[in-house]
Amino acid sequence: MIKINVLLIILFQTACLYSTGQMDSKVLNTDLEPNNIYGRRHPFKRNLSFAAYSTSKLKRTVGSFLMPGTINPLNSILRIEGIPLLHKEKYRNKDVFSFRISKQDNTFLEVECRALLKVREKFTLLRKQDASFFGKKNTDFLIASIVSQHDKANKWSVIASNLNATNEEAQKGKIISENEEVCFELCNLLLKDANIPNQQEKNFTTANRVYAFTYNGKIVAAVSVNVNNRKFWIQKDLNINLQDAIAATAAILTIRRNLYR
Amino acid sequence: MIDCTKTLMLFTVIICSAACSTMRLQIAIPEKFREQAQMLPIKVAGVGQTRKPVKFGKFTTSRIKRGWNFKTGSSDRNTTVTSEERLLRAFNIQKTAMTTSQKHRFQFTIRDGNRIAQVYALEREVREGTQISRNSRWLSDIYQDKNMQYSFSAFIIPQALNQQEPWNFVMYSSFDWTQRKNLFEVNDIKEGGMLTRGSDTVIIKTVKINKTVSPKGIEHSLPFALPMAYEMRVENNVCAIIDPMGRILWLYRELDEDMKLAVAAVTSALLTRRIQNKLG
Repeated sequence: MIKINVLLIILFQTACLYSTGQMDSKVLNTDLEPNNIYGRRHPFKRNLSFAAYSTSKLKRTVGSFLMPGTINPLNSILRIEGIPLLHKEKYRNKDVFSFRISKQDNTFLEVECRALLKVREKFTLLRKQDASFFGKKNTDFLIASIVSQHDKANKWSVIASNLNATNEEAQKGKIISENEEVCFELCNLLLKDANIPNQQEKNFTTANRVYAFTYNGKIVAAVSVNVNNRKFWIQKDLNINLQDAIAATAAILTIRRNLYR
Repeated sequence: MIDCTKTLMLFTVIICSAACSTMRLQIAIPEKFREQAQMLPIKVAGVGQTRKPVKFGKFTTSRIKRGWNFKTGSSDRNTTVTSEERLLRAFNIQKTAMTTSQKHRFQFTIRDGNRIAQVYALEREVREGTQISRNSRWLSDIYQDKNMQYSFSAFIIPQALNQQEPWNFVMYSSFDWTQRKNLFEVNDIKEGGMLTRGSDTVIIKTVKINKTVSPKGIEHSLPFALPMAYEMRVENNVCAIIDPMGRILWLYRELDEDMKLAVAAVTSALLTRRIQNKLG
C-alpha cells in the first residue's frame, strides 16, 4: 500500500513537469461599475439577479444531465493494484438551457444556449504521452442566441470555445450581431471592489479572474469566472443594446455547468 | 550534577545571546542614490499581526485599527484542467476544485509633525487549487495551488484645510503555478502597482536583489536574485526604496513634503499588511 502511494506521489510530481494550462497574466486597470450577482446555486434552479437584470424561466433539458460515452473494458483490465497501464476516456457531455433575462422596465430578452464537450483522452503508463493526454483532441464549444422581445430582427449570437479549459488554448468567445461585435476572454483584471456610496469601500481595487468583454479595443464589462463571490462590472455609458447583450452573455457564462467531469 | 546544570545554563545563555545578536541584512543601495537619499530605519512590531504604531524618521502612525480577517474556502468551478488532474482521473483518485479567498482591511493615521493623512487599506488574495482526497487515515488530503490573484489597495486622504485630493494606491500580483516548468522553479511572482493623485503618478515595483550588506558594511552575494525590495519611481527617477528585510526606507531628499507623506503612508501600509508581508 505504501509502495503504491509512493509511486503515486512520484507520478504526480512527474506530471508536474508536463504541467500545462491556460493562463492570461494580463492585468489591466479599468473603471467599470461593480454589481453583485445574487442567485441560487442549485443545479435545477439558478435564476440570477444583478444590476438592472434578473433571469427567469430557466429550463434545462434532461439530456444535459446524461453523459453518453464508450465504456472501455480495457480500463479496468489493464490495471495492476489500481495502477493503470492504459486508460482511455471517450465521452460526450452537453448542457442545453434557455432562460429569459428581464430588465427593470419589464422588457426582456430570450436566451437559448447549447454547450458541447467531446472528450478524447488517453493515458499510457510506460510510454510518452501523446497529444490526447494534453486535451488536444477534445472538442469544447458553446453557441447561444439572444433575441429581444420587441425587436426580433435584432438578434445576437454568442460563440465561445474552450470554456471548460480542457486544452491549452485561450478561453474566449464573441457576441455578434449584424453590425456589432464584442469579444470576451478569460483574464486577470484590476477592478473596483464594491459600489457603496459615501463609504471608503468604493475606492478599493481588487484583482479578479474574469471574462473581460472588449468592444472597439476597450474593456467595457467583466463577469467573475468563479462561482463564489460572483460580480458583474459594466461601463454605465455604454449603448443599451450592447449592455443587454453583454448582460445576457454574462448570465450564460454564470449559469453554464462545467462539462468536464 | 551541579556541573551538568552549570553547563546547561551556560549553553542556554550562549544560545540566547547568539539569537539576540542575529544580524539584520540590508539590501545594497547604489552609491549615487545613497548620497541623495535619507536613510530612515523603520520601527515596526510583528509581521502584520500587531496593532502597534510604525515609526520612522519624523513619521509616526497611530495604532493600526484592524478589521476582520476573513478567510473562506469552498468547492468551485474548475477553471483550468491540468495534466495532474488528467493523471489523477486515470488513477480514479477523487479531486475537488477549491477556491480560497482571504480579505483583510485596516486603517491608521500618519503624521510628519505638520501634516496628517488618513489611510484606509484592503488586502485580498484569491487562490484556486485542487484538493486531492486519498481515503486513507494514514495519509492526509493534498491541496495544490493552481493560480493566485493578490491585490492591495489603499486610499490616502490628506487632512488639510485646503482640501487636497486623496492619493489612490494599488498593488497587485498574480501567479499561475500550472505554467511552472518544473517543481524546483522559483515562483517568479511579479508584483507591481502605482500611487496616483490626479496627474501625479508614482510607479512601484518589486526589485530582485542578489547582494546584501551586513550592518558592518560587508557585502554578501546570494546564489540567485530574490524579490526583496520595493522601488518607487516618478518619471523614471527613483524617489524611494523600501527595504523590508533591513526595515529601512531610503527617501529622496528633494521630494516635496506632500509626496514624502504619501510615500511614508504607502511604506507603513505595506509593512503592516497581514496576508503578504515581506518583513524580514
